[in-house]
Amino acid sequence: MKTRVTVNEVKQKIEKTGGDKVEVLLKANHIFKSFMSNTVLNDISIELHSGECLALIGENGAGKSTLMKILTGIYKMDRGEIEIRGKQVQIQGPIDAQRAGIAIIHQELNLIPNLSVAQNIFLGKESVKRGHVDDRAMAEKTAELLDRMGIALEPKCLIGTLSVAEQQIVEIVKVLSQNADIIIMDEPTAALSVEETGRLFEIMEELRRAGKGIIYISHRLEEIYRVAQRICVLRDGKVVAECLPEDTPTSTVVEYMVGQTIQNYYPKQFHKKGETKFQVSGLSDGRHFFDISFSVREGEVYGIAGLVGAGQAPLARCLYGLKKVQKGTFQIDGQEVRITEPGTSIRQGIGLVTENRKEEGLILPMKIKENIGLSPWAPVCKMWGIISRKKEEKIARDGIDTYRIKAESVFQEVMLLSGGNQQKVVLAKVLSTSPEVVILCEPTRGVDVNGKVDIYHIINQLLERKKAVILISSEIPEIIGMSDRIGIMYKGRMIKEMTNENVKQEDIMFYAAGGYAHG
Amino acid sequence: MDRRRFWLIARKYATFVILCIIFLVMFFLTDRFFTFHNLSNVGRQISMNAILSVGMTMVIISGGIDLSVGAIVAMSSVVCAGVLTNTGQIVPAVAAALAVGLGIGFLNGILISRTGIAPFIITLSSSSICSGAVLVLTMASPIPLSHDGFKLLGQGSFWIFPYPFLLMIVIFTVFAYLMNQTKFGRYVYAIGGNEKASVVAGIRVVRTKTLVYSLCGFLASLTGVVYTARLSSGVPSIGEGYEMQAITAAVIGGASLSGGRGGIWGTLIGAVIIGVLNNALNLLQVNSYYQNIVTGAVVLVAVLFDRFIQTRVGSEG
Repeated sequence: MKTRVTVNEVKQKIEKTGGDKVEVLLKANHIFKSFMSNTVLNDISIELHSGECLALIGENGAGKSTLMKILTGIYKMDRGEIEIRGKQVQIQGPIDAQRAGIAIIHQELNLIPNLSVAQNIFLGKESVKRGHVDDRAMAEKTAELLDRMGIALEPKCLIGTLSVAEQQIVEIVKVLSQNADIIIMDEPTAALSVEETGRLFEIMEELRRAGKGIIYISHRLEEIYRVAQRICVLRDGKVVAECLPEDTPTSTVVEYMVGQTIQNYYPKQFHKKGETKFQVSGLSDGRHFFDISFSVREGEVYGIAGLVGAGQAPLARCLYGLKKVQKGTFQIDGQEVRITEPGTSIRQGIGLVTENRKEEGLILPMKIKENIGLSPWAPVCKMWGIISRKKEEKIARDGIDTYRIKAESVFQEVMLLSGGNQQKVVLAKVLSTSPEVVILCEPTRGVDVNGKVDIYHIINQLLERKKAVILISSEIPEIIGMSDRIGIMYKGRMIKEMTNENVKQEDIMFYAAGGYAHG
Repeated sequence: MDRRRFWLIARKYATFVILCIIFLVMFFLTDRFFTFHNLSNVGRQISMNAILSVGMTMVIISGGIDLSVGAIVAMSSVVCAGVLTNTGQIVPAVAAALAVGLGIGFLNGILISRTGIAPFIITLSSSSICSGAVLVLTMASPIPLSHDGFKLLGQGSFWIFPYPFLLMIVIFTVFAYLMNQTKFGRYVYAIGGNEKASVVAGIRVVRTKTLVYSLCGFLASLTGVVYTARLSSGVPSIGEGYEMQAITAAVIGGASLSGGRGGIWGTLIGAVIIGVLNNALNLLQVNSYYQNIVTGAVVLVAVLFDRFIQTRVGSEG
């Protein structure tokens, strides 16, 4: 099923769409990278031509971001070669990458909010006049750059006062001012509106015409079909397919992405549903989400879908008491409860797996057993807060067995585990307090395929034990694969609720992208 | 994989090995080191900085710093001496001194944990306020004591062990137990390791941090009481720079100023290394001005070694 596109095909195509004198800008040959025993990149080769937009797609954990980090000098590859315009280069650090003309625009913007547009663009290479920084010269140069691209932005504006889209444009200008020929864009549209996305695409088109090469990373297939000349699909650290968008239907690309195991990827089990366990009505935090109402029953998975930034993450924080709600009520077993801080929600029987395990899930320097038994309500004490080694180790060992954590012993530091196993430690930690309602926020982000399936099995185990599960995910297949009912959020509102029967990815995408709101 | 483990173990025992090397070197260089008199003297000297370092270690593990301990030592010394002169009784004097330390520590803790202002700033100001208050209270003159029973606390011995040394052992045992075997200790490590994750886990971070700074203040005032007994006088100028010595001991002992790492027993070794090193240099008749240079070099080597291992072990997930 592996397909390759010939160089001639690509050249013809780029020339047809306005590029001239196509040359190979970047060539990465046989790149290998592993973290400890976990191979992340397994013999990857890619090529980028001038005037080309290459879409790089793949599921989370397929190796996209690792590859980009190698190209931009953040990671060192174990083996392989990188050629720029036919010349081999060594990329040891970010400065080497800059010299080679490779620049990246990150998902999270790297601008300094209290400096101006011009100051940000010239950060680290300020114009100097007689020993002091020449702000005026920089502003003039910036104005020139902006003008040339047809962007109406005031160089002296503070970054903090700009919209996300405008900031993104500043990032692009910054990259161009470094004379980069190879521009990597990592999910640049995640925070952009439809119009802003359109503007970004126009700029990308101009860049392409000017002979730059763009590597475009995105999960949004329809965008890729709009901008890319070529699609490169990564799976499990390998290039599994290369194709031209016009010859390849979306469904085929999705198949390449997930592989043949698509049938039993989601081991969804259906259990008899019990009483309504957890119910919220009219929940608002005044900023990120408004008037949210839904309920979950025992033995049920309620999936919440939506694009990144639709308000699911703040909603999860409020359900667990990490943030206060402005309006709305919570009910557990039909009784109204107040949820004000994590301590009270744990006592009410609510558990939360946060979306970012390294930031909010784990204490990285601590051992597995210490992480699993961390919560004040984890039953690891003899009395008066004195920890019983026996109890602590037993809970940790049970966790390792039940959730299939691959570790040498309960004494291993979680820092040394792979992403999937770390995530299972987080699950074990949350479940050690025996919650009745389990909120899972992006539970499989950055987890490899086998780890994902293990996590889905854990969800099944929870259902078997009559727990209520709220699954928040931006991966629509996961929502469809594991939920009983689905709520879809768009711009902070729950705009659609559906029972998961023959629901297709497109149906959810339609609502999540605001199709409903736009008529 | 195995190399990682090797470095992790190396980090764990490095300071202990260094201490053994110092002992060994001293054994060959001079015969005045391994005498009961000298060792009991070193024990007495070490114990005060060591007790102070216990509190500092907890604060550092929790991800903070406490610059006010030196000022608390002075404050409690003066309060202890003042009350003792007025009442003539040990118990109220010691109790008052300890209460002062506990109180200042509590205020530090509540300000730091509630406002989220950097511990460096909060304790820097409380340090300044305390040492100023001490000078105002005493007009900068020491309060001499003539209470024999109290003097014995600092200067007496049980068999070959000086009382301060025994106190130090008790404190270390209690706090090592607290930090390693109780939920409270776990929370301190967790908060220093990852405060956000600790909040999510349901740990009451404000309460835990407040307690940490309170205990640190308490131990500082205990140190102040021991000093007072040893000098048989309440000295306003005492305690200057002690916070730095305490930080030094903790850091040599493996505590990381970014929090989450370190240990009570490591700090004991750190404090012993500093004390023994100073004693050794004295015995070898090295000019005392060189001692600071040596201490600084030891800290530098300790943290460089730690960083060296960090790059070997990596923090890549």
